[in-house]
Amino acid sequence: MKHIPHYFTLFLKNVAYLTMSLVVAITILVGIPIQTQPYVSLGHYRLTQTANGYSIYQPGGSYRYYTIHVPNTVPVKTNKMLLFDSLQARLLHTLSPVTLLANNDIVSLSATVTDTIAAIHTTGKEIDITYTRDDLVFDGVGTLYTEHDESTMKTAQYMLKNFLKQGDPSMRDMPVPGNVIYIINPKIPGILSIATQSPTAITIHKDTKTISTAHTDKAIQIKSLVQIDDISKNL
Amino acid sequence: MNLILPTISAILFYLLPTLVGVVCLPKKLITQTSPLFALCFSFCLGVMILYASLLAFGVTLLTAQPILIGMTIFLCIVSFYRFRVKNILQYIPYIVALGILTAITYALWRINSPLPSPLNWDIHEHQLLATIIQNGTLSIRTSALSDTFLFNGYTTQFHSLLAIAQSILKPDSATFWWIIESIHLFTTICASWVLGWAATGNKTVGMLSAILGALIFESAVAFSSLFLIPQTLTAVMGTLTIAYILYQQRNQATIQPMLIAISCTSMILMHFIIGGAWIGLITMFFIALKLPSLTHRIISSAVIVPIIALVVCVVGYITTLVNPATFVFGQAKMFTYTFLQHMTFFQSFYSYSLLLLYPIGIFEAYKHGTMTMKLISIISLLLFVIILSPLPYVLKFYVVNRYLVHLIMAYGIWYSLKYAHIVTRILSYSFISIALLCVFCLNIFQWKEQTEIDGVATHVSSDEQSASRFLARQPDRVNSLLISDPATQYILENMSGINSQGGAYMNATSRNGLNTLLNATNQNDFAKAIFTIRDTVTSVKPTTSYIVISGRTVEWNTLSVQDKLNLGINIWNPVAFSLRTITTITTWEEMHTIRPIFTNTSVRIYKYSI
Repeated sequence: MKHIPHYFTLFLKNVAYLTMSLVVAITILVGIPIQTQPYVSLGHYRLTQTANGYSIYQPGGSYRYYTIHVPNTVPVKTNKMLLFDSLQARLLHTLSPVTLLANNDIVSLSATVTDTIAAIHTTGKEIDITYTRDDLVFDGVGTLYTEHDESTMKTAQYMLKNFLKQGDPSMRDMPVPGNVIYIINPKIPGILSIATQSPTAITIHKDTKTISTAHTDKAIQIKSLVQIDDISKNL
Repeated sequence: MNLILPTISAILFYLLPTLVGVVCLPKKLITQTSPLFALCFSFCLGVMILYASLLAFGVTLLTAQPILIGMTIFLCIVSFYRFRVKNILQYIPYIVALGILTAITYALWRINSPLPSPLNWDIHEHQLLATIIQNGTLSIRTSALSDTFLFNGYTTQFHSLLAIAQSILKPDSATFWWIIESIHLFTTICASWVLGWAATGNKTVGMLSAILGALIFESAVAFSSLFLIPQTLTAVMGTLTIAYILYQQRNQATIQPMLIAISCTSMILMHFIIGGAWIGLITMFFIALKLPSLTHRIISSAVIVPIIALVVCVVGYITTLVNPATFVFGQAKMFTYTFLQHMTFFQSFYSYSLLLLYPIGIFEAYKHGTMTMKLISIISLLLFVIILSPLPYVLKFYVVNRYLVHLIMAYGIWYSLKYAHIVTRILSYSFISIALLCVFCLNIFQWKEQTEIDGVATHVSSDEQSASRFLARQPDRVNSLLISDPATQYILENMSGINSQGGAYMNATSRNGLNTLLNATNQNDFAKAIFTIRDTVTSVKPTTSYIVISGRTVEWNTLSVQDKLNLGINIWNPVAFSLRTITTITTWEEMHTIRPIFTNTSVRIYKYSI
């Protein structure tokens, strides 16, 4: 019995040592500097979370973003939380697909790290994707919904083997036949494809430069094709 | 075979000089110390003997493959008898543990950078010299072999060793570098372990020091553990030399001046500045340990640590008031950092572990440590005074100090937990190691972000690799000149074997010429521009120019004229063609009626006969 206080003191000492080490470890973790926006690679693009939803952007390029507006139910994660998600995605690089950002049961986003992301929502609200004036937006049969200068059109036609044909420029809101739409930004290599589950779910709004999906469609899939000619493999 | 030849060649880089050294060193010197140190000094001696042989007898030796293979086998047999292999068996468990640590660290480093993706930008210039030596030209001065080298910071000893290792089996150079950098990581981890063990006589301190050495990567300027370059190899040699002095001192054995001289000569030939720094450090240790009473008086003075700490703080404060841009110019300006910028770098490498564990280590070393530990603490603090100053390239000196810093941190951790139960100690070491593992992962992932293309972290894209293979097949490449932006020609010159003017360090005349070439509006200007770009080292007059337009070239062309002339500004990362880039290139081709002989999604190559 007389040893009990001794063992108790020893126990307390070791608890103190362990606590000290834990404090050191936590302090080291807290001090990790976050220098860049966490992301997951998506071909020539990167995917990251913003206050409005998610952004697909070109690394190093400050001029171009595709914003995926997911309705106001997405809790914005802190940089650190996102970085660990992104880290997890890289560590599991070979396991595809990887769940990147799992929020509550409202919205989830999964990515195959290198080329595809899928946004799934159960809110019954539409997901919007914005584009800019420079972008070439066209559908699976080659109808081009945007207008461009001659040299850009000539190169695009050459790269896409005369696949493109100009759509009706007077229409402002255009439903897209089929369930896929392609976007090429002339300044960024490669091409993005956006696919919905059901056909006739996509509408292009030229005034707001938005591609919207139907609220009944609960998932969209975004894929990055590394080369413009890769589109032929997807048709 | 794709992996076997580069792996054997990478091992030969270390093994061949070690075998030569084992054969040539007097047996008495080999047996008087630990076999680990005997191997280190054998390597240092062997490197010099091989280098001297090439200088004396000419590089034609490298073409005699059967002789080289025969020599290697002969050296293996003789070394087996001279060096008792059984002496090293006692270290096998530690070597296995360090090997596992290396495998984990290197796997994390290469997780999205598979074979043969290079991440070390400097390998191109070193491989270029190794290839030139293999092709039959050798000089002590690097600048005499290629105009990529504007400054002779080292001899060609490192490159000769590369040339010898590669000339026996002729491996693919990119795969060779991918593999040899894992061996380099292993040697840096071993050096940390040996120093920790030699300085304290405690293998736990050695192992903690090795863990710190593995998980802390200086992702700016120094790049000690993951990049094999002359200064990082010099640092491994220097660390083992100091460990030898401390080991002999602790065991009251004779320190052989001959061994120290061999190591110092080899280090200075490997890298003049870093080798010189190590020699200074070794001299300090040597004198301090030879004059124990004086050292004891100085070190035991109660005010020494506060004085040094005060100097660090005062220097730190003064440097925040000084703008380095006022007295540093040119490329050096880009590598000159203020105290606060240095601290930001250190936070990336260590998070808060340096600020937490380094002072604890200094405190424990001073309160409970031996004279050796106190001496190491003072030298390390003094080195920090230099490293934190706003002078150009001083962060490079961290390749020297990192080993001492990690030893002090490891000592602090070990001593603080010395009286804890074994389970508590193991758990505590694990907590700290896991936290450092997170720091390492985030540090390397953030660093690699800049180099990523299509999800692969690399400095050279697969498109650039296929372009280099195409160029390497050209029959007239000996009499040809490669013309492209600095980054593209730096990479392709090494990988294809076609000479360029200066690689990444092309001179102002060539940069102006390239600028004209890319923006010429008529054939006359276009042709004139090609003639302004000429190599400054070789006397061979080129008959053909290979003009390479890559995504990098188009991006380089968007820089301002001032940035185009700046040696420090480059398009470091691979860039693929966008629709706009293709439009620009097509217009340029039509204007000059020139057609590509090779094209892919990032590179187009044009042949222009002069």
